[in-house]
Amino acid sequence: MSAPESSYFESARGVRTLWLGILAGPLLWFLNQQVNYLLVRWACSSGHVIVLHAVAATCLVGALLAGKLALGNRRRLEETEGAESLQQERARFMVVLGICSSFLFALVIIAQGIPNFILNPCGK
Amino acid sequence: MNPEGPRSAAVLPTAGPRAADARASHHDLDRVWSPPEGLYGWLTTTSHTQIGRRFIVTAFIFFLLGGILAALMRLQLSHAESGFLSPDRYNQIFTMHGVTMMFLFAVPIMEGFGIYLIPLMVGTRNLAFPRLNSFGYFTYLIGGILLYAALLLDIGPDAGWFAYLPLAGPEFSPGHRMDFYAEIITFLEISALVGAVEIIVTVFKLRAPGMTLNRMPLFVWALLVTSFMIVFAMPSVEMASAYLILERLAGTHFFDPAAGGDPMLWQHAFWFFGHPEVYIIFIPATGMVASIVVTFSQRQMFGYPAVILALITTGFVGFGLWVHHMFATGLPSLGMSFFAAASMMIAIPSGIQVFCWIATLWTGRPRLRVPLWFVLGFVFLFVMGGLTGVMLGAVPFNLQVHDTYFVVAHFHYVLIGGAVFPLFGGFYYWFPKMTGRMLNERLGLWNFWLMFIGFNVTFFPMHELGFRGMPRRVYTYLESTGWEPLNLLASCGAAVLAVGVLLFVINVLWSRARGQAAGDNPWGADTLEWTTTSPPPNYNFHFQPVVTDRYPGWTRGPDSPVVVGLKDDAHEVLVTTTLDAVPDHRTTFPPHSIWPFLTAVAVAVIFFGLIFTPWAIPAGAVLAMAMLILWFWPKHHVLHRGHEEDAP
Repeated sequence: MSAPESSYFESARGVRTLWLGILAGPLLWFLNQQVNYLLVRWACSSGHVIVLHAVAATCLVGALLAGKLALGNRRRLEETEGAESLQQERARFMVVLGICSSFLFALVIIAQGIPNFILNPCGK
Repeated sequence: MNPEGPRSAAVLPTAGPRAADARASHHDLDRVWSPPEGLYGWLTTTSHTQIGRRFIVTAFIFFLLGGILAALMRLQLSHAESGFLSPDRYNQIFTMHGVTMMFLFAVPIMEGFGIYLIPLMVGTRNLAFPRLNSFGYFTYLIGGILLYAALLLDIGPDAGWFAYLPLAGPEFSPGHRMDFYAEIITFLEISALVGAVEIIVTVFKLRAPGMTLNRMPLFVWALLVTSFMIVFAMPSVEMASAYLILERLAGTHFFDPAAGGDPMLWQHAFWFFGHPEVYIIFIPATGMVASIVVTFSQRQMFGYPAVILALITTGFVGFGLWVHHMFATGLPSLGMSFFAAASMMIAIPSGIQVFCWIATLWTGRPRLRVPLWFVLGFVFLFVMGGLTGVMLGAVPFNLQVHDTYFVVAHFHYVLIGGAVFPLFGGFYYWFPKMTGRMLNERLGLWNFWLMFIGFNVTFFPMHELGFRGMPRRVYTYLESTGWEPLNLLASCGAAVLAVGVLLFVINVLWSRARGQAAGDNPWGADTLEWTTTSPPPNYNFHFQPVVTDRYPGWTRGPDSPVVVGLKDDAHEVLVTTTLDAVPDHRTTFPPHSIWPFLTAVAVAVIFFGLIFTPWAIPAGAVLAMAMLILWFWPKHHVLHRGHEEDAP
């Protein structure tokens, strides 16, 4: 890590990881929903239901990784010594949002993945 | 914006005691920021407080007009086989009721509150892109007037606010009625889009120094999320209505299956906008609720990060629900199940917010004033509407009650309960700031209880009417159906509701002239708008504040730090960084101008002309282009000032 620990969350890289924690979960959820919705008719005609599971699993893993990244940011903040700066206070807030957002959207991806196991893609 | 000056100590405003800078005088600031007098001033102003108030007043007038249309429908439906309205008139009225409430009232009034309050809440002097703000208001006003003119001339849209194809197409809707819909909706939504862009830039770049993301008021967060939703949702309806224009004007076949088109394309595009629209209306209302709850419980918001998480989650998941409006269209059940799951999961962020509000009130010292009564009414009604929403998210139940009055009951509980009640709370809460006078408390309580009782008497029976099979959008029904008693009850409730709204209008008119003087912060509120005078001066703050915590209204004192060094002889504002609101540079906003108004008129010429001829595009485009050139023509004084800035 090139930036000093206390200023990591002011650097472009630090800010990117914070935003990734917040936004990756919702974006992956949206991707999962849209791609699976698009693939339903194709899964019906081709019989490859496994692809629907694969999309959901990939997005779920991505959301969980975003959560892991946010948890890592939290650890990094806790290890920072000295009085909390304005930027660290803001970073702590973004970290909390990132952790909650990632795991909440992982839950939504799971909820949307369950019908893949139960319903037939050809069912009307 | 026109950035001036590099990031250097010599030009950056810094924090210090306000006595440190004697240059900024109220007189000079007022002279610079005040719009011209009279009609010319009305047409040229770029003041966010004036334009915000106009949005609010205009949207409220449209709310009253939409309410009159609703009252006409209730009169028609109060008796079986009534001949009060003809089927054709009824179709126009229910279409215009929906169009009014969704396009002309709900979104503009929420944006109006944002336009008025956000610069005050983030501690700056005006909204970003002030001329665009003026342009946005005039597009909205002209669009609304054109739609109502069409209705009064018996050429109002008549295929529902959703304008499903093929009903809204040239084959089944000949004449110009649906042309008005397609053109004016496309035109109107420009206003919502520009408003959203202004709010996003203001929130990200014009916050007072020290107002980091985690110190932003919840109302500002709510409007930020809403504005992003508008930016992503509105293009969808713009595209759909543009296709409808082409279908009707140029004979294209986007929606015609016989020619390779698909009517489902309309439904997808419309509801990709239409469902987020519900949250575009609801989320600002939650921001109002949060402001009122914090102020009237006199404690910090319980679970501030959780509420923001809920806002962001709602903003995203709101885009994943639209197919639940299309469960009856024969889509694959697996595909629908994704949207059913999302429709139920969105209850989680809404639930988080409700619990946080209740916890804040529970652990605070609630003062039961009129704004809080409206919030308590909102919580009750919104939970009711939310529960029926979860029911409608289940495909089998949805199919059973599809297109019945159960759906009408549900969305009125969500939209009136979830948005109009907080909005009335917001009126009572911010009226003192906007006018310097308090609304009458006793009339306010009558206003609340009449609206609350009237609303429930009107819309609760509609659940039962839906269960009994009464379909939506029918102009009458047979006596043998047995629907008459409940319809009569609903109509009586509507009368009570209307009296409640009338009391509010009386209260506003009376209090505006004779209300008790409000003072700067009559409620003991926590946000920055309450630290300036009521009503705020044209420049908002004598010195722009520096924020040191999340509740500056409670913690700021006479010696609190302020921004010094901004020019008082120009529309100069401080630009800060996106995340941490660190001073970055100064910028000068353009002065008041007539060109935004004239550009709005020119754009209106294009869309209005397109109702009748495709030649309106080249003719109007030339006119609009000329207006834009004049709008952006470099002004001598701007060039001159830029030259001065660069001088050593």
